[in-house]
Order: sequence, then structure tokens, then C-alpha cells
Amino acid sequence: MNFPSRLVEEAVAEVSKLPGIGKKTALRLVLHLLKQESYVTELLSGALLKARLNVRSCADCHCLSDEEKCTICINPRRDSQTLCVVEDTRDILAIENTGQYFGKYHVLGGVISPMERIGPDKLKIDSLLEKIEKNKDIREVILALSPTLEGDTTAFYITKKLRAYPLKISTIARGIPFGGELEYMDEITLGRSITTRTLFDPKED
Amino acid sequence: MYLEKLSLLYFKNYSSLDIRFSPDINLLTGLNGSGKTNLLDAIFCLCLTKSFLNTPETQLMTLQAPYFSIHGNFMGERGEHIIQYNYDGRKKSFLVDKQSYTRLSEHIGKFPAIVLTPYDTDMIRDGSEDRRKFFDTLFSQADAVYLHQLMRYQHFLKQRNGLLKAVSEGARLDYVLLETYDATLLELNTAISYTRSKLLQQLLPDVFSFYSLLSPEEEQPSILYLTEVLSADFAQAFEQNLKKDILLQRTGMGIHKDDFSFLLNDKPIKQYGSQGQQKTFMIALKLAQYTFLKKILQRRPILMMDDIFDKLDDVRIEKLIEWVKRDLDGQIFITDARPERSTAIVGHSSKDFRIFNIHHGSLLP
Repeated sequence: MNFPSRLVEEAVAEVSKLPGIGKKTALRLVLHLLKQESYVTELLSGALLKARLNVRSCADCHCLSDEEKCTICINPRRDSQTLCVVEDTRDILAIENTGQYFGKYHVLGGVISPMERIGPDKLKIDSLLEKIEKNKDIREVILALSPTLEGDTTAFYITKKLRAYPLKISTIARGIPFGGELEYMDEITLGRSITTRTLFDPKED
Repeated sequence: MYLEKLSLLYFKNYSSLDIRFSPDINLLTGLNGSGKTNLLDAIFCLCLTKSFLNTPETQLMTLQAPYFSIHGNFMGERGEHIIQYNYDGRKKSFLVDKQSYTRLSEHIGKFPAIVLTPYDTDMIRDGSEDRRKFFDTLFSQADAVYLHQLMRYQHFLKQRNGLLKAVSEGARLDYVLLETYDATLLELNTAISYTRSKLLQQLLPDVFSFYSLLSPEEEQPSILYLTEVLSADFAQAFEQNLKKDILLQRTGMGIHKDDFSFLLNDKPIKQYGSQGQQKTFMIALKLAQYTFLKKILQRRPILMMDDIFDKLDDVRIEKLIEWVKRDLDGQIFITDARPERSTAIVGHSSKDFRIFNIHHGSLLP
């Protein structure tokens, strides 16, 4: 693209570095901002800068937080006997949106993948072990990792590391999604749902 | 299932072709370079979504053409299906009854086809990887779980090798992580190895019976599955290999090192078999593959024989053609540069047969 303005070109180049945004979308966004009053851009850049400078990771669960500890960790009504292990902060949002979980979280910051040079030392696994060592009231650890090969490896690894503690270790159920039709399910998921079937309970939902 | 009609546009040396086939026997004749094999390749492309000669799409187009297109009308047990394969130099479109797939691999197995070529005997001489690939492709179609296990195995193997690489570059070895990979790989090793051995046993009787159908001699063909995995002390050996693995930065033991040895009278056919014996062996293996797929998929694959009469003696050719005429119950395409030979043999058949004379990418009347 040939820009008549170097400044616009620079702005487009920066915006298009964002995930999911190509050159054309970036141009549209920049032109949109230029058309608005200048305070609109100031609000946007101000909010982004403030977030970037002030957001840090919670000292307890490592999710994104404004303060030293996040709102979930300091909430006294959260059940501190259950700990849900997730990959990143986005997973916390997803689980919070279900309204079905009232315990606390621990964010790993990724999954183990030596191919991509991500070993256990690059993740918050040591801090998870420390937390469990210190907090004797944790009774259950829920491994809510993606059902990918790396997710499974990480779950398996953590389970091995936690074997020494008197804990209940569970993992989120996997199988047929709501509204899914059996005939369109892949064999692996369906096969697993059959072997790990649950007792029928009409009171559920 | 059979191919009733084929239309080509700018495919290799065909600028335009419309052709109707016999549901039984189709004989393609013509001089060298007339385009017999290209026609088979077009059919293969529709059945398996790619060329059997592994020709890239850009080279499937007629030189300087803007695109190529292959259209085929298949008659199946449940009516007609139209497969369209178009390529415009950049984009490939593959449609079955005007529907595209989310993943092209979903097409595999729906329109099975097997091609016998003069290059088949390369598999006897080439590295073990080609033989594993042949059996893996075949067994994956029989067993979806097997395919899944293979994919998992390849993935975890890469991860373990990544770990070994990090260690050899100075990282501390995390034994718990290594154990995690080793336990998974060990389990997959056993499962894959067991399936390979089991399915090979199912294939062997057909290899034997096709070989003896073709060969007048009393020869005993066999395929030996070579693996370290099924030995009793594999787990221990695998563990003891760790030092070497770290040094080489890759895993030295497991099903990725398996091999299949082709034997004739208990001797490796690679060293002791004549060219004719090797060829007979591969034809028997391919026809066994045909029978195997037919049984699993519950549909008749399209069989193609590309110029395979070379190096075969008259007795074997006659036996093979006899089998085609008497026992084959699906569609077959045979190419032969010497029409008088095959025409004469196919001639006395109760089955429908058509002869196509190909000349420079078009059909002679």
C-alpha cells in the first residue's frame, strides 16, 4: 500500500501487528480514529497505556490483576479448598462465566512442549507445588487444561508431581457437547464418552 | 463402485477429453508417451485427492495452461456421485456432489483405488520408511484408532526428542517429564506394534494365495514383521538407551524403527529374488491390499494396472488376466503399450470390456 502520509503508514504498521488484524483492517481502524475527535484516540491510547503499565500478575494465582493480589484470590467467600489449574487468564474468564465454580485458580501460563522449548521450568508449576505444600487446607486440584496432547502431558506431569500429597486430583469431563449430534461426533470423542460414561441422573442441569 | 465417465481439461498432455468407461474391463493402449498413465493418474486423483506419482499440482497442468480440471461420474451402490477436482495455479478445489470437505483426508476411503505400477518393486529395495508407510496407510483405513495412535506417537516422539535436545544443550533433565513421555510412548509402542502384527497376519493369507495363483513354482512368500517393541525386555532396553538418546538427540528405539521384511522361501527377496519374483511378490501384495480394503470398506476399489506386464513371463501374464476375467468383480483399468498382447487375452471374456486407443492425448476411434 502506498500512503500519502508517513504518520498514517506508521500507525497502520503498528496496529497491524496485533493478532487477527491485517493491513486492511488496520487501515480502517486508523482512518476511523482520524475521523473522530482527537479525545477519542486519547482515551483509547490512555486506557491501553494505563493497562500496560499497571496490570501485573497476581502474586497468588498469576492471573492478570490490578493489585498485588487479584479479586478472586482476596475474595473471602471463594472456597479455598479447591484449586482449579488453567493455562491462562482467558480460561478463568470462561470458567467464571459458567457460574458453576466457586473455588480458586492457578494460572500456569502455558503447557509443556519441549519442541517449542517450553519446559516445566518456564511455567508456574513450582509455584503450584509450593502453594500446595504451604496451604494444607487445599483438598482438591482440578486440572482444567485443553484436551490437546500438550494439555494431557501437562496434566499427567502435574499429577505425578502431586502424588505425594493427600489430594483429590480431578480433570474436567470431556465428551459430547450440548446440542451435539452423535452421528457427527468423531470416533475418538465418542469412544471416550462411551468408556467413561456416567450414571444417568435426571436431576442434573 | 465404478467410474462411468471422465472429463479432462488441460490435465497433463490432455487438453480436452471426454470418455465413457466399461464397468468391468478397460484396456488403454497406445505408444509410449501417448498419455495412458496420465489417464490412470487422473482417475487416482479423483479417488485419493492426489497424484499416485506424487506430481505436484503445478505440474499436473498442461504446460502454459491457466488451470486443469478433472471431472468424474462414479456409479455407486447408492446412486451417482460426481467428483470435481479443479486447480487454477493457486487454489485447489475438490468437490464431491458440489460439496467441499473441511479436511481433504475425509475423502480417503470413500472412493478407494489401487494402482499397480512398475515402480512397486522399489518398495522392496528402498528404506524401511517406505514399507512402514505402505502398511500404515493400509492399516489406518482398517482401524481409526490405529491412525489416532500413530499420530499421537509421532507427536510425543517429537516432544521427547525436543526434551533430549534441550538436555544435550545443557538443560537439566527433568526425569518426571521424561517419565511422562516414556510412559505414553511405551503404551503407544505396544498398541501400535500389536495392531501391526495382528493386521499383517490378516493380510498374509491373501498374499500367499495371489502369489501361488501367479507363480507356477512351489514358492512360499511371506512378510516378517521386525520389531523390538514386542520383546519382553523392551521397556528395560528403552530405558537403558537413554544415554545414547541424549547423545544423538533423538529416540533410538520404538515402532518408528520397525521394518517389514519380504521373504520368498524364508530368504529375503531383496537379495535372493529375481526381478520376476520381486514383481510377482509385489503384485500379490497389491492384490492382497485390494482384497483387504474391499473387505474393510465394504466397497469395491477401482483397480489399475499400469504397464505391469514387463518382466513377467507369459504364464504369469495369462494367470493374472485369467484372474481379472474370472474372479475380479470390480472395475479395472489396464494399460499396455502392446495392444495385440492384451487384446488377445482379454478378448475371450464374458465380461464387458472396452479398448481405448490413445494417441497424443486424445482418443482414436
